[in-house]
Amino acid sequence: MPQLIAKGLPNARLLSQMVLSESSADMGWSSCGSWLAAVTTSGVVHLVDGETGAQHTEWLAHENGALALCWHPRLPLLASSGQDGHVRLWHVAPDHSCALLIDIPLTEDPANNWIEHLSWRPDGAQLAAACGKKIHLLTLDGTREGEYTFPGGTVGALCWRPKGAQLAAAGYGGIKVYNVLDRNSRPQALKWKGSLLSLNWSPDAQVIAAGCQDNSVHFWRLPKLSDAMMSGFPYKPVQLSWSKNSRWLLTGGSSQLILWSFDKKGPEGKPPVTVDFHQEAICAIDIANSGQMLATGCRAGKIAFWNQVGDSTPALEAQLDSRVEQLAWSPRKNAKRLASTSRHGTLSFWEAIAA
Amino acid sequence: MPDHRIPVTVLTGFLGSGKTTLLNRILTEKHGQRIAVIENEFGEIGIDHELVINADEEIFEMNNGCICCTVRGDLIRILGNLARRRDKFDRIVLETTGMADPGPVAQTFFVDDDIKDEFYLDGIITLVDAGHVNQHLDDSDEVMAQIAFADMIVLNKTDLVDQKALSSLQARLRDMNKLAQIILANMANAPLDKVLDIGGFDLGRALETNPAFLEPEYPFEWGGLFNLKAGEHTLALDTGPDPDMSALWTRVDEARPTSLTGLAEKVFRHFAQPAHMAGNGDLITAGDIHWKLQLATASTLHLQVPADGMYALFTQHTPEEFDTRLYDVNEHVCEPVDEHFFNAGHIHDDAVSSVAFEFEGSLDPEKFDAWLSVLLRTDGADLFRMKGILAIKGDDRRMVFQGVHMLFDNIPGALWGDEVPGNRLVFIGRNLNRDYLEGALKQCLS
Repeated sequence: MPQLIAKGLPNARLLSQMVLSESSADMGWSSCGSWLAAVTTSGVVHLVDGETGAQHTEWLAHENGALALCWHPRLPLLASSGQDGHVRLWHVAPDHSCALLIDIPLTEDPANNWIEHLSWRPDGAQLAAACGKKIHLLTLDGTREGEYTFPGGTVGALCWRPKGAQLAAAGYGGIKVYNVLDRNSRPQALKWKGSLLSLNWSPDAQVIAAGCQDNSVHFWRLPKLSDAMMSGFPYKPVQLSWSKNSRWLLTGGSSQLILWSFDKKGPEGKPPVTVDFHQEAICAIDIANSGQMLATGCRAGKIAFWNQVGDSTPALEAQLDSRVEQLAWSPRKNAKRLASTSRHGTLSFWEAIAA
Repeated sequence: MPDHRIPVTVLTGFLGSGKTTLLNRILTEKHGQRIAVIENEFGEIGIDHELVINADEEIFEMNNGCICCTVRGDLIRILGNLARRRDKFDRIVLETTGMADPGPVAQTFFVDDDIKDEFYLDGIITLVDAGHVNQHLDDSDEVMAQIAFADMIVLNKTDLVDQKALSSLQARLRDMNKLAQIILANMANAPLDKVLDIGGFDLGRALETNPAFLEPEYPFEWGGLFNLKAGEHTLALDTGPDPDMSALWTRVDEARPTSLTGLAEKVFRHFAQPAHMAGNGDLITAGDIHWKLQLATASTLHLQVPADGMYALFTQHTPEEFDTRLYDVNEHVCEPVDEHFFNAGHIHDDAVSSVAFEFEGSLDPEKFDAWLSVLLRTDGADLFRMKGILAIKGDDRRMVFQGVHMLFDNIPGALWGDEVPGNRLVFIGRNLNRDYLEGALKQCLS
């Protein structure tokens, strides 16, 4: 059926652009919004000014390549990990200089030395790092406070309960939820015979959703653990974003942006809201802290800027040189600034106003 | 359209078969390709190379419980990462463990769309230790599967076995997998240009990579060429797997030199003629005669050698099976100056075998689809690989197809043009029933 595709959308204003030596493995804003860090697959961190987009500094953080970055929720502290079995904590000073604070070797096993996931506990007291099937809990001074072994093999994703101290880990066979305040407690098991690749907890902590290898999304309602599955995606729907009011779950994995309604009845038994805009599968989604602005990016390198979740047409668009890798809104209040990275390594700063 | 995806070569083989030796050669010899290595097997011999990723193999089954949807989680994860570094290398080589099942590896390239967009499986190379593989084949399902899945079998350490054992091993491997090229090697010295561009899963190259299509099945497993002096010779045989055996004894025209395979082309039709019985003490005359040797007990037959010259003996079974020996008038053993082991219909009773079909006519697409979908659903777990070129009623192009377990892929190929449309298929699997498959396929003719 022919579809009406919005044509001639205004372009978003490009504030700055730089070409990294290669594709970015991970990217994120510091909690204050002063800096943005992007790390290349071969392990070079680029620290960029949150206002101007100009680079302050760059350094090799992991010799064998990097896999993850994670800013502390309050402090100017950046955690990084790579294919060398080390987690490193970097401190960024007000003069934008950066120093290695602590180097934490987690393993010397060459078969399991990829640390693919990092996540700070919402209160900032601990960093969770997933290395193969092990999940390590690290404190700010680098102490290893404990570890868990994920039974299904390599951990596919980590996610903390919003404002909580429960850590969810997903992988082959389902989800385990660990209560890190009571290390002797038995983890809660959310079983699913399949491979889970991504994880996102709704802001009200009532639902936990996972993107699966078999092109489906699976979710559990807490605390009763009633669960359901949404399938039929042409690609793996690893991109999962919740609207701030926990009403909508947005999923990628197809060229349509799909919004699943989690009001009192949904989403079971109801068709989702689908929004046509992208020509190829959506591979990045980010909702701004304000809860208003939404950005989506696709494999063809197109970024769409939406004024709010649920809009049927984006307000602005932008085109990258290659597949969109990451999208992230500045955490500053009412900020309309979006950072993007592309498969070819272009880091761009956009302002969500017409160029 | 040029394929911009990155080729992936998979090395399988039992521990000690020489995988790491071949990998080291791939990494050190000049071939102009930059290679990233994924290793599931470590510790045997060190790899001195920049881009080596060690990983434990992780097998993911899907929620539907279908074993054919089983994929390799470690590969998906690592290839996903390497896709972002694709300017750093031209090819990926995966060295699996000795016990690895190649099925989930191959299936990963069929079912995972992210992988399919960036990578293609160039081929599965299975290394085989010529000295030990017979024993492994007898007690390891994994080794069977590795041979069944191979696009290329590198028969390694051939210096450690004699010619006869090697030939019979080749025949056994060929019987299990008619699709694979078999390369003989020592110290894994297979030619790298062949190893690194196999195109085993490339439907566009289905024909050129199918040696079985080129070599027909013969009613004999062995042929030997002898240079003999005139006089009556003796053929001595013990009892073997059958109470009788077909054979042909013929003089070779030296004015028109022909190889044993060339001779085979000429004589094989005589095996279709009614057989002349011959038992202990009988005379076998030289000529295009189909003999049925009666071998319920150990027997000695007389072979006619009317003049000095070259003679050829073709037998239904290999000499080892009946301990076949040829003696001259002085009772000295005559060794063949050349011998060849042929691709016979069925040689060993291995659970894994391959069957090839070639027949004219066009298939009815509906009948064929219906039959194939039932076959894959019921027997998919036992079908390792399938490949073929088909003539479909109403379509003037070749239809090229391949499959791995229950997964199936097909594309239209070149026009038939002046060629008579026909069908060529190979199935590799466990407990294949040749007669059933052939009958069912012919039922699908329009």
